[in-house]
Amino acid sequence: MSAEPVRVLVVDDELSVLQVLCENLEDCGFEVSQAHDGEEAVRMIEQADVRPHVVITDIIMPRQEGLETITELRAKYPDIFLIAISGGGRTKSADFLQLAARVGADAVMPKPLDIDALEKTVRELVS
Amino acid sequence: MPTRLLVIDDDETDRMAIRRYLTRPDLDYEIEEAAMGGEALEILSRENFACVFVDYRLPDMDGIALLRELYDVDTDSMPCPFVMLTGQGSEGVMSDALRWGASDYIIKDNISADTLRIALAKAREVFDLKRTRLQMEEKLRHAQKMDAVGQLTSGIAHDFNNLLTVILGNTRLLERRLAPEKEDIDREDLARKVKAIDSAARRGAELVRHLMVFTRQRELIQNVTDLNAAIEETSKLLKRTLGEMVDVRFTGARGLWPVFVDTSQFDNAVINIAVNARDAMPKGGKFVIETSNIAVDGEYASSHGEIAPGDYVLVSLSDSGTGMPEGVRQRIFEPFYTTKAAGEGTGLGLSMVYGFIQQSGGYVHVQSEEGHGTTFRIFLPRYIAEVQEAAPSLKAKEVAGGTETILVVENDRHDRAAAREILQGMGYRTLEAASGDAALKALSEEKGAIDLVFTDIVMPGKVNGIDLAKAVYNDYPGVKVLFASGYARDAMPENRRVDDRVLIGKPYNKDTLAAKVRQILDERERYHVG
Repeated sequence: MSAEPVRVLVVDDELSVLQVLCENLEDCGFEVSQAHDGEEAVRMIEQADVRPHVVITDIIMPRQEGLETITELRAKYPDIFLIAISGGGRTKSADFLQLAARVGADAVMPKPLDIDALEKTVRELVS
Repeated sequence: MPTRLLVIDDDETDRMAIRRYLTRPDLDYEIEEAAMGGEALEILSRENFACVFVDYRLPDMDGIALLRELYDVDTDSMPCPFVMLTGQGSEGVMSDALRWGASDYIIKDNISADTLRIALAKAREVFDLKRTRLQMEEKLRHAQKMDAVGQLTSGIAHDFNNLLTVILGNTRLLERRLAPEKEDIDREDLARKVKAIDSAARRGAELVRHLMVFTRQRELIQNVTDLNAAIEETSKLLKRTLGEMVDVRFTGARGLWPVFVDTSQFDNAVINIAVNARDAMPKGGKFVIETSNIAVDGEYASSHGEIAPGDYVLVSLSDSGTGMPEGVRQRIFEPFYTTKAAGEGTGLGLSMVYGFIQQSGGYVHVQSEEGHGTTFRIFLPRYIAEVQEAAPSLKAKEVAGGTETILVVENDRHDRAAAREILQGMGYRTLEAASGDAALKALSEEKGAIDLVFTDIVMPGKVNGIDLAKAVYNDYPGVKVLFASGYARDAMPENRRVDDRVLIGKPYNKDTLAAKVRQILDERERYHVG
């Protein structure tokens, strides 16, 4: 790794979650940007001058759903690391996360998120 | 173990014939007999039978009336299979018998060992099949509920995990920012984190509360509630929540009956429906809440699905929004059914509204037309205080009235009117007198027409109640007397001169007075007044 900061994009439709994740990741020394849904995330990456190293995305979201987003990003940007996070929904979070791994997530983490574990995962992926 | 049968027939020859047909060395039947319907009901209340044969014609009731005595509401609660014995050519009776819970019938002319045994076997099978089907239905209902609870739990889990992420994320931030090596502490920043934790935890607690109500693990905190007052409060909040685009109006009926509900759950229900209404009115519109008292009769009940007849408070909530198609309308109370984008609605709000209304013994009807808005009608049972409730149950004992003529003698105008109301209500003809003198005058004028004199003991004037009674006993042989006294028996010397059986204490209620009057009118002798 160079001295270049690790760029992380966090995608979550729940504002309070998005905020607290971003702030924590900034505290960890990452350069953090945020998107409220998959569509916004994809657009941001397409238009950005520098792409993020890691995208952390929730799975159940309005407009563009997390699994679709992971599938699309994996196809378009094979070099971006993808972390799927989920608190479950109509089915157990484990089921969603398994699916996420199958469509190309590099790591999956259940909510409630352990911030230290998240930081560790990000660092391991980019190293 | 012998198979126990009950034969109900007033004709002894017929009973004997059935017994003879069913008595064979290879059959192990134990047969009990009853000649009357009442006797049979007595036996059925304490003993179980594998099957009952009942003659349609019984001296004290017909066979169908007997069947109907055996269950409260529907034929599902029949205690055992019944075979109705009917005369030739009474097809109407046969179909009625089956409708009212008999499992089979036999025409009496066709009774033989074979027809009896076939009917017995068929009735038992029909009965068992029905019972099995009911058990399966009950299991299915339970499974459906568990399924709903399962869906609900995982949905709540999702929300919970988000809240916990917020809490844990913020505590981690606090930890770092409060680390010993940190020199500049931004108090405002820390306060924001604490607030975020606080509000996430509170949302969690609220979620648990909803969940518990839905799964019935937490009892409702029910109070006698004036819904007008509750809605008045809530509608203030609604005006803020729904924004300026929505015109919130509330019209409460005067003299609205109280209901017995968990007020905060009721508020939640109103808010939930209002928020859905707002979402159905993206360009704004009207949201109107109205209350009224409504007595639901049998006719209304049968045209409105499952609602039971009775007194209800009706709360109707209407919006002028987009309305919804029938397919959506039918599903809106299902947990997790939502037409909103993922993340915008949990699909739980209206299912909680439904849960609350059901637990409160109420009903909800939804009417919606695309382009013309939606109306929720919530029926909550009228709350009647215990004391008032006691009256109809006493009435259920059927205190007999009559058509005799009663002279009410009472100097207090209000007491007199009260007695008149009660007695006329029971069918009696009443005359009134405000004093003993007036009573004597009425007696002589209405010669022979008065059957009973109902008089207060203590009255102003020359003639008090005791004097009046003595005169009645002397001059009017067939006329009975009942005394009323507002004093304890031993507090008044006069009271001691009156036999207890012809004295009623004041204040009396309708049923004690009616019972006493009937008893005295029906007795042959009069009681001595001394």
